Amino acid sequence: MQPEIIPSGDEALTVYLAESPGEQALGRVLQFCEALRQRSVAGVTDLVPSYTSVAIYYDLSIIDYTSLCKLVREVIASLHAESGTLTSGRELVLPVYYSAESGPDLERVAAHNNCSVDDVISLHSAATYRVYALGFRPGFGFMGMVPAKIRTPRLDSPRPAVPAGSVALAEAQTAVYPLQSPGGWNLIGLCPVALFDRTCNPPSIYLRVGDRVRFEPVDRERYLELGGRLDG
Amino acid sequence: MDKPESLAAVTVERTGPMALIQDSGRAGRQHLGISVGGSADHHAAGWANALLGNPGDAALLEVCLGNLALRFDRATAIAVCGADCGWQLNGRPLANWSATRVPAGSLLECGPARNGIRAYLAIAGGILSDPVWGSRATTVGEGLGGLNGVPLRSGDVLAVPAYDITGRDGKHGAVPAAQQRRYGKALVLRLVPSNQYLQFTAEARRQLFRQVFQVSPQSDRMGVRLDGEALEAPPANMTSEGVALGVVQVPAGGQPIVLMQDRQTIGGYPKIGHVYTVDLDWLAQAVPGTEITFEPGTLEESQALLLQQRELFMSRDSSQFHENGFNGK
Repeated sequence: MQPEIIPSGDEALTVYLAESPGEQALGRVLQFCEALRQRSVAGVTDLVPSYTSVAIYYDLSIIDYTSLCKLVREVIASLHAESGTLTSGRELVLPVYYSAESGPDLERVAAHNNCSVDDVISLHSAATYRVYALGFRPGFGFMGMVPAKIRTPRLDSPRPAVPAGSVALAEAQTAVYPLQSPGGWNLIGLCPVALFDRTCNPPSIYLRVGDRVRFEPVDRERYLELGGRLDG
Repeated sequence: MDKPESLAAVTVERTGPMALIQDSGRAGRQHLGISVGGSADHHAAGWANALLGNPGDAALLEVCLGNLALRFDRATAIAVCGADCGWQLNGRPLANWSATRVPAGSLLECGPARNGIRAYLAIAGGILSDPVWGSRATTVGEGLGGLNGVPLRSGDVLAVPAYDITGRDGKHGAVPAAQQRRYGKALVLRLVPSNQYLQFTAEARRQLFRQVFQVSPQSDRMGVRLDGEALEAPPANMTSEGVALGVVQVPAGGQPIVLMQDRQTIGGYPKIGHVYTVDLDWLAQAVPGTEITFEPGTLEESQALLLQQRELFMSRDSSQFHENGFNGK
């Protein structure tokens, strides 16, 4: 597709770099971010990569829309046409305590897919996921793709309070809730790693867009050893 | 932070539903999912800081719906702007949109908001809480900023720089009359068409600019929801993307949401456009039921007005301002 630049806010614009989400689209998105970052453009305050687009935030008092668009077009033109292989991305392993106790929707996901709870666990933990976007809550990573055999639609009505650390899936996406919040995804386990840690200043955020994540099943005891909690 | 002896303490004796420490916001961390936050009404917050000669990003209080009582242990100066909630200093009424000296031991109080929603109270030198990524703005949904990431509670103590008021008699003025606002009237929001505008049906686009919406009671610092006859929204098959201040999302239900300071950093609903940033100051003060209409606008005009607003505050160093402000009433 032809890349598109659209103003989206008085101090923001969206650059669309690909038609449909996937590894190739994300590769292009991250390559664009890196190339723009290397130019260290004065007045650009934030780059938010997501699936097929990049939101660029800028300070109007420092750079105007037209100049920024010109720069963005230059950066797009400089991208390698063959880009599509994701070179960046850390490999991360997140332990998960999968159980009825920690994942109240585990049975529902199994029933929806006519498989056993053990199948859900082994399929969910066998795949490697890519972080396509961060948002919804601080450090909430939208990860894909969930194997087709265990995809399950969201709940009809969201829960008012999903416990922090909940590992969840909705259709092709999976995620870990970094802090207690409302949520409509299917809860299948708990992860003891703090994805959003406010005990330090500035807080630490575990995931980055482009990371590759694998989930590793651990038992109750190990989950608690790793600092996991079961009190909601 | 300053040395302890150079600090003064302001104690919260009583607080209403949501008094928040705010500033110009926590920009630059949206790629981590961190909301920008910051004062919802930059016009009122900007004037409150400007009246005292505070820097534009000084932290102040955003008092939602009023009801607050503060005790000052040392003499200082304050400014109150925005929603009118009947401020009183030691039992004597205080004019809104103005600054005043506060003797040591004073009690500052306000009642419920009578006009508008959010009152801004600036204290000379600005409030000194622990910044998170350079900002003191409280984002309650994230638990960041302010005092432990939550609204003020009775018994909280705010630290402010000690302020020498000697020789400053009469130096505190009021906002020029033309810049003082009365809220409560129907609003016309100017909208720049954007991202998915052309994916809406021609009928939905016409309807957007013809229909009268009402501010929904389900509005907050994340977004102002508008009630009205549903707009036909394009199918929500789009992937999530970054969402900026003022963006108007239309979920499947067809009721538009204008995204405000505490919005999520990414969203997956179709975006029909964005509201002029300067118009959001009015929207932040609109009570539920306020009538809203949209008018087509341009990015050029919207940005020019925003720059004008910024320059108004930036160009006003305190001395220049006090002259204008003091005679302005």
